[in-house]
Amino acid sequence: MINYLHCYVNDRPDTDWNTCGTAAIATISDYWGRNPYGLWRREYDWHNGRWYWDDGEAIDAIRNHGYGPDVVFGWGTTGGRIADALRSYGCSASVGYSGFFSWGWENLWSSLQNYLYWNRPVPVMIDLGAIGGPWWGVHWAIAYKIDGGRIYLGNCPWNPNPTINDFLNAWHCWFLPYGFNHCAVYS
Amino acid sequence: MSKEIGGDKPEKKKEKTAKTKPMPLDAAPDFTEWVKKQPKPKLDDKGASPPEPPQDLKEPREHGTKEQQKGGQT
Repeated sequence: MINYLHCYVNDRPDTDWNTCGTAAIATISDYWGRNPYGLWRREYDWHNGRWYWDDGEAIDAIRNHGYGPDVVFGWGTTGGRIADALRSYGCSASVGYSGFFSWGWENLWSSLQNYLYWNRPVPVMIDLGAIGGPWWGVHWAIAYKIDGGRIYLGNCPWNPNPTINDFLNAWHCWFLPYGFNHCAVYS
Repeated sequence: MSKEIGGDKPEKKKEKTAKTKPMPLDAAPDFTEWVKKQPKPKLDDKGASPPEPPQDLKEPREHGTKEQQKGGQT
């Protein structure tokens, strides 16, 4: 079980309002030992006493190499873009999403639990309004642990460990079109 | 790969907070238009499922390094 996961955070005012998916790419690529852009480790994490990339530098490097937000008007990042980036770094990656009327969401939930069981963190697209954050706020968080009826989400300060029911509502993203519901990137 | 010993650990920084910009459907007409233009699912659209995960990681990977590190590692 992953008890703590260092997650990169899109925290720069004005710059990072739409780069949560890019931060997710950084987290997963670093977790799998990839440093495709030769980034320094200059940030110290007090939680685990280890060094990591600077969040903004990592986000900028990924974006400058063509893996930044790809939804029109820069609203955000698709699961496909995240998977493409990870594959280009030599990781396996596949996107999951539910079908017509949420068809298959139970299987996706099983897959998510299974990946976490095998210590494979998963970027998940969630509606922050369903877990106590701003309504209509769509965000890529990193699921890394399920324990005690809660799921643990990195880069999700609004609610880092929502109940599973709340998470499932958030993961639905019911107001987004086909391909964005119960969306996650598995690697 | 070169390393740089940082000496004392840096001062503890304030926790970082992710930024986002909500997209209320009624307040973002461009977004609403984009949603309308997306392909509509058909009755037999079943989405996409990932493969079974490789069952080879019994312990979590520990990423990050114990010492500060310059760039260049790939």
